[in-house]
Amino acid sequence: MKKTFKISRANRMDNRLNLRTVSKSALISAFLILWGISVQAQDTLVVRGQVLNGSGDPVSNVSVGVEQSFELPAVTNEQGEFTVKALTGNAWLSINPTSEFKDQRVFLNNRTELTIYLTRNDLTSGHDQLSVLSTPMLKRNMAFAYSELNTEDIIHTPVLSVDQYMQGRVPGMHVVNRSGDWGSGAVTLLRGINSLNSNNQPLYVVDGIPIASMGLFGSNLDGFSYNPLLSVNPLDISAATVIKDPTVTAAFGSKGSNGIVLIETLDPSATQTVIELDLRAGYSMAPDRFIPQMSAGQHKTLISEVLFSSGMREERIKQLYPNLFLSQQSDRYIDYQHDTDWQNTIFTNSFFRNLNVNVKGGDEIARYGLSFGYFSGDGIIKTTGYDGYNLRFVSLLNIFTWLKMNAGVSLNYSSAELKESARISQTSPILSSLGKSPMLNPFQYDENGNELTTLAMVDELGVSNPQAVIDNYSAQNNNFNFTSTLGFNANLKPGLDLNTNFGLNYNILKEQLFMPNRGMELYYNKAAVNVSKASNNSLSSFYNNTHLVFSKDFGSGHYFSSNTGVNVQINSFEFDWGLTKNAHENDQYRMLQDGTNHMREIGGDNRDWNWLSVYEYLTYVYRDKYMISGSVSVDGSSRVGVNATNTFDVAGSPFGLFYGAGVGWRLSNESFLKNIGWLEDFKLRASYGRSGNDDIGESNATNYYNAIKFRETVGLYPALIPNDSLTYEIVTQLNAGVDISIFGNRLRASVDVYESVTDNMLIYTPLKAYLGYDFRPQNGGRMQNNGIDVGMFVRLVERPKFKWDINASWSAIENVVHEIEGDKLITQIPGGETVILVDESANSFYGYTYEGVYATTEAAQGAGLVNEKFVPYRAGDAIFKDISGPDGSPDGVINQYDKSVIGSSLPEYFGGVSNTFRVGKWALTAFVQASKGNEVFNYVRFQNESMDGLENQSTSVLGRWQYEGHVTEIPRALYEDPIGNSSFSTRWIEDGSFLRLKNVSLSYTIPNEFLTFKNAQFYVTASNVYTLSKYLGYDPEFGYSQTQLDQGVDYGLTPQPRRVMVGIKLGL
Amino acid sequence: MKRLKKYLPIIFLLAVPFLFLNSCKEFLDPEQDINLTEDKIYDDWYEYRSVAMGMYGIQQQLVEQLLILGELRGDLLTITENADADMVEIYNFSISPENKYASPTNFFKLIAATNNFIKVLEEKRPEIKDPKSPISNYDRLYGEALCMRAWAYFNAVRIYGKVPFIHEGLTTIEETEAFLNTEGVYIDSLSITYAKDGYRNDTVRINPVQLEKQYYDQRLVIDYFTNELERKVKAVGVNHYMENNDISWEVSIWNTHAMNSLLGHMYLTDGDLAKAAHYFEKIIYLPSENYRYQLDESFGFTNWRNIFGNIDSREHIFTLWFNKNYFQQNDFQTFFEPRTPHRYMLKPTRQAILNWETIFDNYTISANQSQPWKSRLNFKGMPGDFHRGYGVSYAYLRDGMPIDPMMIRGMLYLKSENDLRTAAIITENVDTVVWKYSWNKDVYDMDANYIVYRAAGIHLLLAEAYVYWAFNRGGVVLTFTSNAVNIVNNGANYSQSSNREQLGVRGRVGFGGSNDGIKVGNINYVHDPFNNEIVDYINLTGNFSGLQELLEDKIIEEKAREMAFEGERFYDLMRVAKRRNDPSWLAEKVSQKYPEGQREQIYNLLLDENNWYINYFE
Repeated sequence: MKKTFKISRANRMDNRLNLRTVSKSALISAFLILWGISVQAQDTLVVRGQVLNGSGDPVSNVSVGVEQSFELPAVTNEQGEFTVKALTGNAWLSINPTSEFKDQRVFLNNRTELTIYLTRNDLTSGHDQLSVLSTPMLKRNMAFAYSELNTEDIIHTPVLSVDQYMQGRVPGMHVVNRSGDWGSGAVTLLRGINSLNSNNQPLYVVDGIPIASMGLFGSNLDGFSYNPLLSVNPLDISAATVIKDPTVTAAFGSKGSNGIVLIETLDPSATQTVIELDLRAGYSMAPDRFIPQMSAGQHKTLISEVLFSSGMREERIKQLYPNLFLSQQSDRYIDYQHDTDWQNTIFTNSFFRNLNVNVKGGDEIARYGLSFGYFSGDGIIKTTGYDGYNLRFVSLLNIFTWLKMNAGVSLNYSSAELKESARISQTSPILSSLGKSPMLNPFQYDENGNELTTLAMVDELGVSNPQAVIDNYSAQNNNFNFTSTLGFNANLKPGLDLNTNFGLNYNILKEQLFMPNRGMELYYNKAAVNVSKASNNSLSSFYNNTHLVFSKDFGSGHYFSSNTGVNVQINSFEFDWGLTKNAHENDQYRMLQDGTNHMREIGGDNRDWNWLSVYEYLTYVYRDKYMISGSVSVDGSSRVGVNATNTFDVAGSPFGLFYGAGVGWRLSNESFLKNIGWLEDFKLRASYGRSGNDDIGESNATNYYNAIKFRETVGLYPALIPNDSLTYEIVTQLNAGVDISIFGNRLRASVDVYESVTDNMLIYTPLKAYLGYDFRPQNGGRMQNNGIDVGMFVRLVERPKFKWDINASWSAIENVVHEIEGDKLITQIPGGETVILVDESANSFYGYTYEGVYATTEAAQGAGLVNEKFVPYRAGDAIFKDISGPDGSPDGVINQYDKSVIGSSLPEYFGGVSNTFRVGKWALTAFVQASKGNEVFNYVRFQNESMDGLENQSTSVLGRWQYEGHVTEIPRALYEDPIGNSSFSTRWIEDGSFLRLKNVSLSYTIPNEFLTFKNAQFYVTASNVYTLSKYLGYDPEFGYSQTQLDQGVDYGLTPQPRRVMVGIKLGL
Repeated sequence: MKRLKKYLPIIFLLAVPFLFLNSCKEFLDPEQDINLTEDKIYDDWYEYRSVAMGMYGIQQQLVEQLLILGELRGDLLTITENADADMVEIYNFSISPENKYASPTNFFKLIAATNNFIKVLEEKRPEIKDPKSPISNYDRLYGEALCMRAWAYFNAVRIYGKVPFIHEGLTTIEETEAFLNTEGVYIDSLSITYAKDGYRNDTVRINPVQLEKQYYDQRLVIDYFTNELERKVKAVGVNHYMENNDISWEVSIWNTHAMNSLLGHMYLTDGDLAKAAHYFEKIIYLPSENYRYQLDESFGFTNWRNIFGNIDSREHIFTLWFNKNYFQQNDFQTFFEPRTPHRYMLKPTRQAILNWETIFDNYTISANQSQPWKSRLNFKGMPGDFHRGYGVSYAYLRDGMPIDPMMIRGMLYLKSENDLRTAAIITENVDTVVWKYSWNKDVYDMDANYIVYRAAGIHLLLAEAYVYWAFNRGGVVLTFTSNAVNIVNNGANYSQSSNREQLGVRGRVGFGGSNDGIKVGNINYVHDPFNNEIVDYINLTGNFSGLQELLEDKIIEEKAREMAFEGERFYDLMRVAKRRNDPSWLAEKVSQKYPEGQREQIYNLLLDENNWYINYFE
């Protein structure tokens, strides 16, 4: 045994699993005998074959050898033909073409004549390896659903985090860009939503270390949600794999139910020093289509209509709004003689620039990779922007022949200037610019009528001066994210490796906000003139993964691997915030200490959670035809209760069990298909398993006390009725799929159908009143996702001077809630309501059905309806459908019984198509992406068309009901809307489907030397080029936060701008 | 051995992760720094106090719904067009289970907090259950918790008619549900139905009565909690002001007088007038504290309004404290005020305003007892109660500014001169506003206190008990009606202290004299509300019970002036209507505020006593 140990040292440097070194172990002999059905002595087989490229042309000079044979490999002739001798029909051929094509291994499968199609180096092949659970595996042997992200084009898109790039490129992954702000990232849902109240984002694992979950950090900035993927410079990403299948996710136990995105960065495998420099600069464009707002005159008419509808007397109106009745002699007359398009005040075209340096090198003892990135970009909302630095260093050391070490450091610093969403009307640039009266001007005038640079104050019409929002409101955050990793790999025996990897992450997000006085509306129920806020998030996290991998190729067609591992994660999170109001009204004192003492508030959050799991992942492949893989994990999470259901007890702590298994059957190696040479792979897969989600809160299962203020002291009371049986959410998934690849991988496709069911969902169940608490966290309910994922790549044309590639993904998904406590859970959201209702999609919009406007008094009286306050509707009021009443039939009262599901933010299907032409050194890529069947609540339009205040409104309210008999779709203007005409209804729900030409890029590559540079590439790209949509807002795509409840509501985040970018890549 | 050596590194390395775990159990149950778990508190007396403070914090969250439920269903408060749909429901006596003002959750949150505290105290400080052990601060906290719980149940049962009884032994949801769902009844072996006079003609049933187990009705709640307080409480109220030198602390937590108020209030509601009077008298006759709750000139005339500005322990017995500077605010101003940012959702009824505007100071009449129809008004007096009414309890606001009180005096004078047209100009286009919670407040303060018990309220409750209370001493039936009249007018029946003149409820604001005080006699004059002319008379000669009812009417009317919008009105009406066994008395008063058409419907609805309750636990 010791001898074996020595022999294999020669191959130690090869990081990959070298299958050819497996030869002389006694153990293997035993297996050979055991499995030796086909190992009996046979006559030598003469195998004849032809090697072709993807277009069917013969390829010469390809070396074809028989593994474990003593004969020299054959070389193909001009016709691509070769002849080799094999001992058995179960031998493997090793095909080693010249540099243009990829190596492959072909299982002889008792064939004596065969055709082999080669895969070009630029195409993906099933013979490529992929790292799963830190173990390299052949892609063609995977018996589970996964997708590989093609990272080739990432350089041609101006994304700052990889989640945005995945949009439309990963089947099953629904990506919603959160906003047009730099670094805002995306909401990523893999195979739909699996949870109602906990995290729905997949687990991102970067170089083996899981990163912090999306949306973990708190913020005082409305519409901001921290994006931890900013710590990975997209240009550093060498591979990204999305795993959807429980066969693998079960190994991640309670972290795996939303799928896993495995990201690998700098690959320090080069021993030759390579320096790459990438310089990019671009331009973001203000929206070319503004929301059509009313002119000054139209707004003035509307204001009088609204004011007179309030029932106020004319003298009172004149007293409160004297400026609406100014005479030319008045000092302030000039202030009201404008027709300002305020949207111009907030939007701008802006520049961005990006520099990346990438150095790789080393020798046989030590290798390293270093990348540095700098990004600086302004936003399309004036005075917003983002600056970020990334530094990543990885190294690989050979300490002994059997022991390797890797160490890495990643540093990320970013700083952003942002603005608030339209949920905070006083400081939102979008809402203030829509609402500000066009009669007014951003700046004041002196007595001679000359415009000053002094900002205009808020006037009686009460909307913040958008110029003040731009100039004086400030919200800045700084993120410092530091990760260091250290790992060891010990090769104990051939095929037996022990790995351990440590990751230490320290992540801080600081935030400073100032809501100014000048030109702005008052805050906090009009009790504050200015407000300072500050917050600090810090997360420190320790992670270790230790695993033992055993893998072996047992002679003729048995491959077995086992991966046994342990995960330990320790997290400590702290969030502190402070707030103070009414600092000096000159807005110069912006810090927390400057405000009024008794108005200072502080708060925070402090959470610790740990994770421990032990897993086993097994793979077995027989004769390149049958594949089985499976995983099981025993998972302990500190979040579950001490008596958690669905767990078993180990040493006094509850542990959950998660498992998954998949089988694959390569039909193309069956006797009836094996002779079709162009059919490289045709595989059926089926898998089943369950994984979990432990994001159920740290304290929901604990009996603890909350603080409550009383007089000058603080009192304590039991915070909740604890649920010590609170447990993991469980997602059970059944998947069936087909993989196909033909003509040397010129066409590859995968189709998967799946059904996933979530049980034990975390639900805040309403409690009986006598228990004293409104809700209690409980596990319950059941939700199901059914879907189809299709992924396809095809190289339509393959000529030396011209190549045409199409890469497409398409997914359909349906989400249905099957069970929920009380059959209905309603949640209030700003402006509306969502509902969780049996047989409907989770968190659907819930409101009235809008059926137009009563044109006449007669019509209104005829309908005989009253609102929830029992006020009858009159002419000009909205017609809402009287659906039901307390006894189940229409009752003439429009109230909660008349609400129904009016839309869902979840799309029916989505996907993307990327089309690439390569002509010589030129490449042109166009990427189109689409989402269909989702509804959105246009909150901005709800604010911009409700006509219940003095804000300016969109031109569509010009069609408002104005006189008896006026037939229209828009109700009358009504001060504060006591009737409820603008109640949440189908009037505010729009079709959110869109089709977008997301990215077009043209590049020119000089493969040889250019000046002193190697591999120079010049490129021009445009993104968000054109969007086809019926949506009335700026942009049909937005994600207020990563929370499911916030999806599909347009809270007025920055729209995604059209961007053009030029770049140059140079190698040294 | 060799083999073992070879595998040692493997075993060691695989075990590396576990080196980071000191104990699996601790690892998987880390201490959350911010969460105070039960084992971390209750170490010393200050931590016990913190938990008691928590009860008061929760109690603060009840004030909006207490006020709305107690007043909006009564005759003094009504809705404006800005009222939200939940208020409209309460106003219409048609209340859906989702109504936020009608939800019992906050009561039971308080009950859960007190149950928890009572349980912990009984477990960790068993000496509090020993009546002989010396009184410590733990006894005082225990008393506070028991009072708080009794108060919460008593309020809840007045609102919901019957409530689930959750005792401190029930800690988990499962135990609670199991307890409530167990079939069964309680047998009450002795049940007393009090007669109107509270003593003489009580019906004592010796036959056992079966009572529902799941829910306690009002009688059972009162029976249980009066008993508990009398039996278990050794002392109430920790003296916090020793530490922070703020005397208002004494009355912003439960104290002995507050407990006596609660006990008296519960007994009065139940009809046990003797016990009610017993506890109320304990508060009023306080020689040891220099009769602090006598109604002297401390809050006389223009000082009356200070009751709502500050906490003063000569008037306040138990008050829920609010203060903007400590982030403790409530929505009262939002409900009542029209000034931005408030909503003006509720306003006083016409009847509420008339109570203050149609009272006359210092009028005189020349009475003719034998020929009452010949009695005439000599001097009309000055109209209006400007100490308690305009400018304090209510105000007229035009464009956000209160009208000057002199203008309103002028208006009332014009009305008394029958110049209604000129009078109307003064109050044209005004909003009638509840002003008690805005008086002396900035619009952003929103921190008016909510008074649970105050001296005048206890005096009026005692007067109410005295109206009917009769007592048989050696064959002679003693009645106390004159005491009742005295309490309301001038406190003449007390006069224990010579250096502090007792003034009575009306007396301290100038209406306690022989003419402008309330009078109940054989001949009772009916005055015109605006010019005070005598328009009719009621002859109650020989009709003692009629006389009692008239006196009771006048006490209730007086309470509307003294205690309007303080959250008790509807229960006052309920109590009297029940005592008279006459639902129409309540229905008549309440239905007056509704518009024509709805008035009849509400009147009929309220004839059924079941509709006085929010039937949440059906």
